Amino acid sequence: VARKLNSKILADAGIGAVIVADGTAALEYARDHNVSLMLLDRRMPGMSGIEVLEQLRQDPRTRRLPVILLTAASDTTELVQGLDAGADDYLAKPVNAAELVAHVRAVLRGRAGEAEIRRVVDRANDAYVSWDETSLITEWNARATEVFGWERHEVLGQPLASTIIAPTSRGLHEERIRRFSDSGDSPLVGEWIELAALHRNGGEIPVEMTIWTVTSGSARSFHALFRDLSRRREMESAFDHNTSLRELMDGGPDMITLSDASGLFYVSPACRTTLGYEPDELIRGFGRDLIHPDDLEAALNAHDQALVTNGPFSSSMRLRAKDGNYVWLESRGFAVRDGDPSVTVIHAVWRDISQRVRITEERARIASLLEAANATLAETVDREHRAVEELQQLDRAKTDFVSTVSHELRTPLASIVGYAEILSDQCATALDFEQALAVQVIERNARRLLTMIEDLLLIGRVEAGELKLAPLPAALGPIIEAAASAVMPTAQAQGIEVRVNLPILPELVADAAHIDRVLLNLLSNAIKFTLPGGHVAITATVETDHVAITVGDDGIGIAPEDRAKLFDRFFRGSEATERAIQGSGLGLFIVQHIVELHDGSVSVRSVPERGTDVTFTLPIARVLELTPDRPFSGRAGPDRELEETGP
Amino acid sequence: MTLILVVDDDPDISRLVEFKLSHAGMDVVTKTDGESGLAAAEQLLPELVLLDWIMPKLTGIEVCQRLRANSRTAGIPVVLLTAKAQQADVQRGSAAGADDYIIKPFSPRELLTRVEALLVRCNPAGA
Repeated sequence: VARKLNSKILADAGIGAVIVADGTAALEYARDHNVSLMLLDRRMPGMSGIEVLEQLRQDPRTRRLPVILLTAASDTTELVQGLDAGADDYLAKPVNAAELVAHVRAVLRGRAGEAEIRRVVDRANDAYVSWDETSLITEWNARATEVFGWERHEVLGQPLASTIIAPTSRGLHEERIRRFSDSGDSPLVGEWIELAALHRNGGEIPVEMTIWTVTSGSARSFHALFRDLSRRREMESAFDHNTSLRELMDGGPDMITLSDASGLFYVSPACRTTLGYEPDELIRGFGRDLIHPDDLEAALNAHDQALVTNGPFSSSMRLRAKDGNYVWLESRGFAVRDGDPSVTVIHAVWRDISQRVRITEERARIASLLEAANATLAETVDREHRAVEELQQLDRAKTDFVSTVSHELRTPLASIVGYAEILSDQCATALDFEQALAVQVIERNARRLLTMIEDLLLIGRVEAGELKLAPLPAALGPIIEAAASAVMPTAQAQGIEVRVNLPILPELVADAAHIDRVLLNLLSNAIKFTLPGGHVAITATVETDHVAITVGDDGIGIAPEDRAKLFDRFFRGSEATERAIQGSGLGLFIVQHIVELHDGSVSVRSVPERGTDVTFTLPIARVLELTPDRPFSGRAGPDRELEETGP
Repeated sequence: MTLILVVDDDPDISRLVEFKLSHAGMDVVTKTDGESGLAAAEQLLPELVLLDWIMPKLTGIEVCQRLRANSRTAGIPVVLLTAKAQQADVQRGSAAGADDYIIKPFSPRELLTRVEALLVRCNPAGA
């Protein structure tokens, strides 16, 4: 009744229970089934609970089975006896339902960590087997069952060597265990040895095995992983027998490798030229230490990826050759898995890509050099731009300065000019001859100063690109006549005759004020450089597409060495300096710019001591496409020519 | 008598203009900055105003605009007398309402001729 009651309590708590009648039945059931916990009554018919407990603990299959002993309350002796015999917990009768469930859960929870480890071990790709100091098997995972053919409950408690080590390898195995006892783990941990294992069916299996030990109190346990090498051996054998394939792989220029989880098992002889190693050296010694540290992570990732996807892969890495230098290799291949995840084989072809990498690196280096050069260039261009801008600013400042100064000069000049006029007008009768002459000199020089100021202003505007034409249909004849009249008094005062001889001239589109300026400058030059009694003549010819106007004189002419500089700003000929002929050197510069703005050209013919002809042209064939906004386009136009005749 | 107001910060110029115009029988009042020039124009209501462009306080252009904005002075002829000689300057001057524009340096003879012409043109009956 009590047992059934207990069973009901557990079932209500979601825990399945099996009830057996006595100790013998309990032992049998526990050996053959995967039992999570045993509730054991201290007092039973036949075998006592303590006896059952002792037997459970002696059998490797049940040694770790959690046991809760049910005892009579207050019997401390029984309690101590039970715990000594290996009970995990006890409960005093009569059992309280909640207490029973709580204790069962607590014990199961304590074993839950172990169960978790079990599950991990079961899922491992390697067979896991552990045994105790008496060489009896204590643990066994699912993979071990696949490799050796035995179920877990069949081998627990069985002697290790006779169960799974082939007779031919038992000596080697025992020797190894002895070495563990002599030296401790450390030199042997991680060392894989190959040996022959025994299958349930009596056949031998080639395996790799590694061993470690765990010491807990005085007890020591042994743990081992086994890898099945049968598939690999089969492949190696097939490979060895497939001579044509073998020859093909052996003879190729690229290094070919075959590997599985435990490493390389074939390397083609091309490795001698690729890396300088013998194939055997690589089979024994290929490890991650050969891979360049910078490439290691990517190489391992590619490798793992290949194992997971079970397909093609490619990766590049540097491998350390025998001479210590790193060689860039590209590894291409594929992973092949025949159903069994532990025997994935990676086929790889290795190609030396040092050359390609060098080229790529060289390209990158050149690209970065180019980039740097471009950056420098851009910087330089930028600097040049700034310099040009600064110069332009400076130029504008100069122009503004010239303009301001010119304006500032006008005001005092207005007083000079104005009062001189007042003197000669208002006080004419009060002045004697010399005083009147003095006033005339003041007036004349004031006007000269004014002309120079106007020239300076004009040049300032020319250089700032601000000189604009106001072109309108204009009759050239009257403009020329007016200019001639304007200079007539000066010419007559110097005893120079000015003649105007014009054909009928067509109407032009021109800026009359500026053309007037051109004529005045040329006439003024001609008069200045002509001796008393000389002649100045204005003539014109009408050509098909232009009118040519010539201001000629029979004066002193221009020295050959001065002709090239005639149109330069502020240039003054040697004759002008020698003869103290007044002038600013701006006249021809202005003439040239105004004429070029009209799309015309200026030419000079001169013979020293005989005279000078200056001719400028103005187009007529088309209506000048001059807009009022058109700025000055440049000093040295292509039309500019300088003709000269020999002496 | 014809009253002419001359506003120029250069006393030499003011005196030159005053000399020439008073010899021609006109009454001349001179001022040396825009503000006092404007005040004098509004108070005296002269027959004609001669204005320098660049002056302290108010420029000639500003004085001209204010004269034009005031109905009492809007009809007074204004001549700008200035060293600003470029075409654009002349245009700005006439845009501000100036009737004539004389560039420094100038001939006093020409100044007198233009002042007389302007007086006749603006006030034919009063001449």
